[in-house]
Amino acid sequence: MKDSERRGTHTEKAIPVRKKNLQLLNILPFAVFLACYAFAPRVVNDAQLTTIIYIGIYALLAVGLNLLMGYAGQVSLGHAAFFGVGAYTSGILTAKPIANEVIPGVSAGVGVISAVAALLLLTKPSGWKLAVGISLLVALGWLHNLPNLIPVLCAACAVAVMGIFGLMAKLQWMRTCLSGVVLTLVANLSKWFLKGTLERGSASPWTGLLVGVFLTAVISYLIGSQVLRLKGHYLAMATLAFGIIVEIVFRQWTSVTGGSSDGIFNIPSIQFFSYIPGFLRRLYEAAAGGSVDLRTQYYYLVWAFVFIAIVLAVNIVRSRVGRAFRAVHSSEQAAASLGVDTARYKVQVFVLSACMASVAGTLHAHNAGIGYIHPSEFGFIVSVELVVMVVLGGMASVWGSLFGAAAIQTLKDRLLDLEKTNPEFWGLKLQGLDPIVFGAVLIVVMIVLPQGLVRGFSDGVALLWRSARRSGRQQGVN
Amino acid sequence: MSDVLVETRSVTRKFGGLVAVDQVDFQVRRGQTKALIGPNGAGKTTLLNLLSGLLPASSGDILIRGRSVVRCAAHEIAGLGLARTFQNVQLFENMTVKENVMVGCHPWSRQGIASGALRWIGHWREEKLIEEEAERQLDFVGLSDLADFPAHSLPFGKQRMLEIARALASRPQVLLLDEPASGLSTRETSELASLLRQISARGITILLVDHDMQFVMDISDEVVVLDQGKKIAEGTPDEVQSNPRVIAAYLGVEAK
Repeated sequence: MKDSERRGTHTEKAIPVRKKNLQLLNILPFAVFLACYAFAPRVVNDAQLTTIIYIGIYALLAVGLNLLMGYAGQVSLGHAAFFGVGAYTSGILTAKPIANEVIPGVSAGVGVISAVAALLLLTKPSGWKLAVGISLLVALGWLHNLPNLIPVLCAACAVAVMGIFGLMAKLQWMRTCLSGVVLTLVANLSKWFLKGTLERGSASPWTGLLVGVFLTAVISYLIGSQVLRLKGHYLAMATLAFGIIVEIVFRQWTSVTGGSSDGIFNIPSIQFFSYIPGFLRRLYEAAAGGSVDLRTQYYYLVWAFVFIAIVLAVNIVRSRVGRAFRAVHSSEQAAASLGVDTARYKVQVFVLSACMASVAGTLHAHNAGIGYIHPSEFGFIVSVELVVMVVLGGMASVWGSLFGAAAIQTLKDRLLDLEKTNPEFWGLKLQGLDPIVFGAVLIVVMIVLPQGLVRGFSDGVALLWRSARRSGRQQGVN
Repeated sequence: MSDVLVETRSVTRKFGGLVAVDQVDFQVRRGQTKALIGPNGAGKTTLLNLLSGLLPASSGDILIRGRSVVRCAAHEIAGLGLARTFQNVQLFENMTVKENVMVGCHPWSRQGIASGALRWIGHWREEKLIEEEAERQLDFVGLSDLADFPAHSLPFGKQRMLEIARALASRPQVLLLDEPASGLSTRETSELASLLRQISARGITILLVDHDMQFVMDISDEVVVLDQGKKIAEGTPDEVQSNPRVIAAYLGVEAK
């Protein structure tokens, strides 16, 4: 949407965007959200709960995409690809048995990755430091996989080695020790993960989540750093192409992804309530009158992620980096002339939004009672749907994305119900209506409500209120 | 030489066959207010774009605070203490007036995305500084009571002021102004002149491009005249005004 178009919808008298001392108004949506979050499963039936879970997954996607499109102004028509990467990584890791021979390699890999991460976090990286760190951590990854190596010994080793290394690199000893401790923790954590994996025969969904996010971050960084140099339509085309390529990979790489005939099935779900403190669970079960079924648990898990995503998004938007994102949207030249590294921030928001999509993908894959993914769920049409959700909810409106996702998902369900009845309209069989209807919705929204549902609605209410007040005042005068 | 803030050494910029800036040498010293003038198409704006890194130079060298910046990206140059405004005002229209100025605080603030997302202590501390700086600059240009309005709702003259406030928020050493007086009424222009004097009194070096001769001669210490990409004169306003080559360039007479 062009700014000029947006300006056209403004009332003649400009109104201040946000008044001071209205902290309550900022917290209110979150309070309402949490209230609905807690009580929704008590008032809806099973089918509605399924829809609500899907709305949550798509809301997560839409919030992420809105950061990229609505705030930073970078179009992505391939966002479903990252959704798919998250889903497939998680699905493959958890649904397929993992060969024992792979474990040491994976463990060394995790070691190396955590080492690099710790080094980058704790020291100023330079080429040779990084090289030493990596080789060190390959060794560490191998070491901690040896049986009967007690964690304390491991920690001592790590701290000692990091200490020597730190002396060589003339680092502060505090930082060095800290990085040693961090490394030990990460190493033991990964050991714990892998132990669970060995016992179960496949990875836990949480491992799937983390690996999926990591993989997505790497892919989106590589793609984003190249593609985001493009602008407008060219960027849209490039992301579109990327999305299509990824979908083809999902369809064709049969040995890994199951291809388009099988997909991946029997993906285990996540028993969310086994991860929350016992007294909370008992409290809830007492209130609900009995044990909570898997789907309700999954609902709570998905919407917990949605809540976290919204909090993070709202915080980011109202921060230094968020302002830089929005500045890039308006004028890259002006932003750059004020010291905003436009390329870096564009890649940053791209990776962030891709990672959110990846989390949504994992949640989609483990969906309770379904546990099935298929390439068609991550195709071009889905990317377009996501864009429609963002635009319908309102560009640059975090809460709007939630409503956009809800509206589109509900509409999709209705269309599906309609198609089940095999309707005919003047001999035209109404099948596969989604793209047509979504296209129509997009056009209508762009023309009638260019600000999206939420902003358009609130603007309308404000307008009505002001005109009502004005007419009231005139009556008072008369 | 240490008091030279901006220096160009035979800097050239070509657009295809057109030489927009042709081997221009000039210096801006600390605390000076310098103006670049010249007839339309003389390459003034191009030169400003070269200085601020929005355009790469075809050849030659640009030094800011003694450091060569021809290979630097715009944001790196901004980090060296150079801020600018644009000929066609480039505000962040989707943001409020205050947020615009807060973006200006970018070069000296440090908090990253994680700090903003998780609201670490550093975020609050820095956000307070940024907000204070923004309010100070808005107060300085007289826009404090419009702080929470969307930037695009301001009248044009105020948008100009906002752009200056935004540039000042980056705590620049050099301020580049691209035609700050164009499109302003006489009253607004004189207000702008007094504002620029105050900025200069704060110790900020100003390099500006403008067409309004009276305005330029009024506020600048030195003037550089460009014609068809070449520097044809440099000196105090009086010297330049009596220079025959300058008169010729402006009146379209062939110089002897």
